[in-house]
Amino acid sequence: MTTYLIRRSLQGVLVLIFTSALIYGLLNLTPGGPIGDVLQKPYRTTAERNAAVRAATIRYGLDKDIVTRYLFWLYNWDPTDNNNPVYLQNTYDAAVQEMTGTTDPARKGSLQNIISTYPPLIASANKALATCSNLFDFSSLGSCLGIPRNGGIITGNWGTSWKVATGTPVLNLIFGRGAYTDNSSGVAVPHPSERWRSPLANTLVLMSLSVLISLLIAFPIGVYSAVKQYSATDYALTLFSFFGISMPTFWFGLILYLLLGIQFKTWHDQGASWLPYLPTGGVVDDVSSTAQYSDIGIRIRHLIMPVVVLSLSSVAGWSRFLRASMLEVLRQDYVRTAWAKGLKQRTVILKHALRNALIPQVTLIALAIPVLFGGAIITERIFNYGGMGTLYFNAVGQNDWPLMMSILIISSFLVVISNIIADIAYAIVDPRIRYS
Amino acid sequence: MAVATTLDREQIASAKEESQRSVIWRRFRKHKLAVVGLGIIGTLTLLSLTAQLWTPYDPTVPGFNSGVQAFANPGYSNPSNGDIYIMGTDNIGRDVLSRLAYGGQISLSVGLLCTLLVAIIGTIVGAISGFFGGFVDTVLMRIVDLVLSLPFLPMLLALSIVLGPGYWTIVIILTAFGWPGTSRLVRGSVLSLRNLDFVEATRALGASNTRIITRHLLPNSLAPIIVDATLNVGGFIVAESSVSFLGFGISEPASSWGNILAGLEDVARQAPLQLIWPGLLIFLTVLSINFIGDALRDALDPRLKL
Amino acid sequence: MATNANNVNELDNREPADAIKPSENGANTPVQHITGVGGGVTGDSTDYIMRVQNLKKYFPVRGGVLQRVVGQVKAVDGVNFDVRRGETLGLVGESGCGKTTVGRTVLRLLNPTGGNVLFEGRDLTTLNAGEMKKTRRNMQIIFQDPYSSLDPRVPIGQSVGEGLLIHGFSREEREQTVRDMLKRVGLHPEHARRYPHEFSGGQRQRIGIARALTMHPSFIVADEPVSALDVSIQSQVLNILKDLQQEFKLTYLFIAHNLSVVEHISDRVGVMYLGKMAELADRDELFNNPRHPYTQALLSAIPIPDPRIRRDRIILKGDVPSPLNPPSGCRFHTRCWLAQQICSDQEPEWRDIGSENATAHPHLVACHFAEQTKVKGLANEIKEQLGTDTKV
Ligand SMILES: Nc1ncnc2c1ncn2[C@@H]1O[C@H](COP(=O)(O)OP(=O)(O)O)[C@@H](O)[C@H]1O
Ligand code: SF4
Ligand SMILES: [Mg+2]
Repeated sequence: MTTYLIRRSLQGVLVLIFTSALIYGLLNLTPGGPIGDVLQKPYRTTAERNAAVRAATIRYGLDKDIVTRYLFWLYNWDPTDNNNPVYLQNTYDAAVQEMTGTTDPARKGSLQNIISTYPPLIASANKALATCSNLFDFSSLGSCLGIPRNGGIITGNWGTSWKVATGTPVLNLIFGRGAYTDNSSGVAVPHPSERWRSPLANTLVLMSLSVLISLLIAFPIGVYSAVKQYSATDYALTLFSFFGISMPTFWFGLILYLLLGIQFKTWHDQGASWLPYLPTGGVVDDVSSTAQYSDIGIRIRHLIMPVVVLSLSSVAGWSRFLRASMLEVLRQDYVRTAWAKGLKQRTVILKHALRNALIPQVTLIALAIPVLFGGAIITERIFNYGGMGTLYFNAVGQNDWPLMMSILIISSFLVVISNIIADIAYAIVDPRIRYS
Repeated sequence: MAVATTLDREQIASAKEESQRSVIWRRFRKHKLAVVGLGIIGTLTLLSLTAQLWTPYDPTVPGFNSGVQAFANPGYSNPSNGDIYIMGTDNIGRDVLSRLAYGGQISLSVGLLCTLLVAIIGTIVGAISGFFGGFVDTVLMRIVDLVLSLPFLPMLLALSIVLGPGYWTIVIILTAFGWPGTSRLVRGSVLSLRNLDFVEATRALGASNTRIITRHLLPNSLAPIIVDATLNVGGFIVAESSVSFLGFGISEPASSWGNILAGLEDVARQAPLQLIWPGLLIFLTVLSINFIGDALRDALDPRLKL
Repeated sequence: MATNANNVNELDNREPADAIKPSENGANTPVQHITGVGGGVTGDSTDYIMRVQNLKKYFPVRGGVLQRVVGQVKAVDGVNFDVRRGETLGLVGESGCGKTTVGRTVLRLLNPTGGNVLFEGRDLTTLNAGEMKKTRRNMQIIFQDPYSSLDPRVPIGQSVGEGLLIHGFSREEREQTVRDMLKRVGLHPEHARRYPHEFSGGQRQRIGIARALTMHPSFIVADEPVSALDVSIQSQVLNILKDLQQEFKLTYLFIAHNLSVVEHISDRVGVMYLGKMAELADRDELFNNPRHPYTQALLSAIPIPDPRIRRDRIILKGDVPSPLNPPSGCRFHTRCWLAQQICSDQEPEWRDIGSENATAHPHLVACHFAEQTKVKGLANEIKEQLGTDTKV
């Protein structure tokens, strides 16, 4: 088993490297890519257009060949990161150089500005880098996220966002640290010190609540259906699960949104004041209020509809699965005997049967995690819930490659990990399976 | 012929003269919901295919009132020319009924086309991998693992941007992500069959590998392939409509059930009931397919005697 | 529908152009000089249909982090024997000793790891795909499990006629032959359109026999053809096999896991132990004068119907060792009651020690002490050597 785990982990790392190269390569095939909007802008002269395109090309590093760019992304730092001391030093040096040759007063002014303001920046960047050089020093991990290290994504430098929040380190976006401007909405996002503003945390909360709720509902349904096989309730529950599996998430989400969010509020406002209604979007009522992020009540109200939507198909699928595995266990001889012998023994054995039926469920849950992550994109989009899904949705829409890459890698990682967990669970369940 | 006469006395299992196909159909019919589903799918397919003949309006031209947010509620009758919009119009005034009918052509054909491609590719790869084993198998299965460890929906969106949203983009991407599952299934089935004695017997008779695969291994794997393919149709329809709903799939002015819903979402607060139609069509289609798949699984179950 | 029994024989007479004729290839001449301890006396005029020389088949075992080949199951490890035209050679041994592997490797359903298989004088391991396909018409196999040996999705008539289809016979010929063959094994020709699940185990086994015989092969490997059948049906199937052998002049390599089955059907019997041949001799010679300790143990285990006769039963100690890591020297030494130091150091030679009956075929044994194991002294010897492990 240990050998197996080592092998699987090595395979997983290889798969992640391979996947990232594949995704990186594919992204770079995008026509226009991140400079698409620059290309489409109207320009007065061709020279102006060329200059703008050239500047954008350099800015996004598109002048380098794809292998170099990928390797940079993988193990070198972001060349244009404003926290990168080498980059700052280079800029400073270039400005000093240019100063000697230029005559344009305006240009001179901006160069002078660089020369005077950069030295302290360089010093602080160097200092930050020095204190954060050890990524595995977890005591400083929080303050060091987003500080570039001598290395790319494999040492924890995930690059900076190009478009969604230009210049902000991707990790800051994912972990919800630091103030930035959301380019898509134009909203200046302040700097709440709340842990729970992080999109990653928001999505994880959404997903884990969904798993939990799904289990809590699917569990009794599955067991009851199995024990009362072919009863009217069993048929009804079966029918329900077929409905749940076939229901398109986005449609179900929209219906809930319209009914519980909008229609209920309308009725509420029209006088039915007893009628509760749910918020139609967001993680909190007011994004700029730091206090709301830690207000459990508000958070839960915002979570109800997304969780329900995200859970529907897993409730349906898992209850079917649990019913099937429960039936299988119930069919076994020792359980049948106990059934015949009477109540006391029956309950004892049922507990036993239940445990045996439950273990395969672990495999199913593990395999469902990547699917849930995908479902989160749709759910978050409908309810405008500030999680990884929304972040990704924005990143794809705006060709923000560093952000896209990061989220794709995180979700690939989820897939790899959950596959390994599923295999292990499988081996635990079925003693015939021996991994070596 | 002494042997023959003595042996003739041994009882021959009695079997009704009934072809395998009619047995399967008889067992399938027991699932009433699946039969209803078959009817629904048939009707929807027919209506979509004949959309050119019966739809009242051009699905791409705003007929009611061009301009932004020019929607109409179901049953709306235009006072200026008497045009009636049974299901209302969408956010820019196009007839929803006509769009749904044409959208059905796209949504259903994406589902069927992808399923067909996935079944073909998955079967070929799975059969080769399972039958020959060794190096070929290792390479093919590593590719399968790789594709299966890509996050499905996020990749779908990213690739749609890369290739440029459109009908063929969606077909290509869904096929690219669909075949590994089927090939694993076929491989497993072929692996479990290839060492059975009847395969050895065929080889001993001088049969080529191609003959063994196509005449013996695949026909014996057909039941799971058919069930898998049936359920795939529903999966692909949902995937297509999800991506189109998010705005990365079938793009305007062409319609698919997913992007019609996205258009109607814009006016959801004013005309909430219109949201019902496209979603209901997707739901009914997928539900029917799931019923059919379930019934087929039972009807084709090899453990049940034919 | 008028069928005539002669049809079967007519098919026999048809010689499609590509059939391999033994006479053309010179059944034994090219083989002579290769023969070492294959069984025949060098230069004899015996008509061999198959000669197996130093046959090896190893299966790789994978493991470790990288799934490298970490070991090999030596399922068959240097086996020599000849099969004479028209005889039935019984092959006996405990389950897992490599009989099936031998049967499949000599038909090249498995590719041997080493050694040669000469069929009708031609080395099968050197044949290309086209030649192999032609050769397959002359050698067939009958399987142990009547349930997995027929394709459940194919009507039995098609299964039986598939060989003819593969080798390009016309539709009429196929249908005629299938009808005749089905009749020949005691089934109604009308059953051709039925599926395997409509038949009983014994019937299926007969269908398998019919399939093997449609192309009129000369050589048949019968891999425990009756082991999976009810005792009541076993003799029926054995009788069919015997009748067919006479009618079609078949040669059988008849595999079984105990001696009692082969006693009735074999001309000669070979005994295998852990991937090696232990002893091979004429049936009577082997049963009356077993010289390998393992053969003696197997024989002593056959129940005797007559309660008045008491036989010393030899109980072997220990388990069969793993073919992954077989014992050194004589493979039987871990369980042999006669084992000496030399047995674990040196592998015994596969040699002819001569039959009691001078006219009989060679009596081949692989045991250092074959000369000292006369059966009459057995009981005493056992007592001397082991005492506790044997009940006398
Ligand atoms: N395809 C295979 N892969 C690995 N080992 C095998 C394979 N086939 C047979 N073996 C091993 O070879 C040995 C001989 O098997 P077999 O020839 O089937 O024995 P028998 O027919 O005498 O019972 C056994 O130990 C078996 O486990
Ligand atoms: S060689 Fe030795 S161990 Fe092997 S059978 Fe003969 S006496 Fe026994
Ligand atoms: Mg065997």
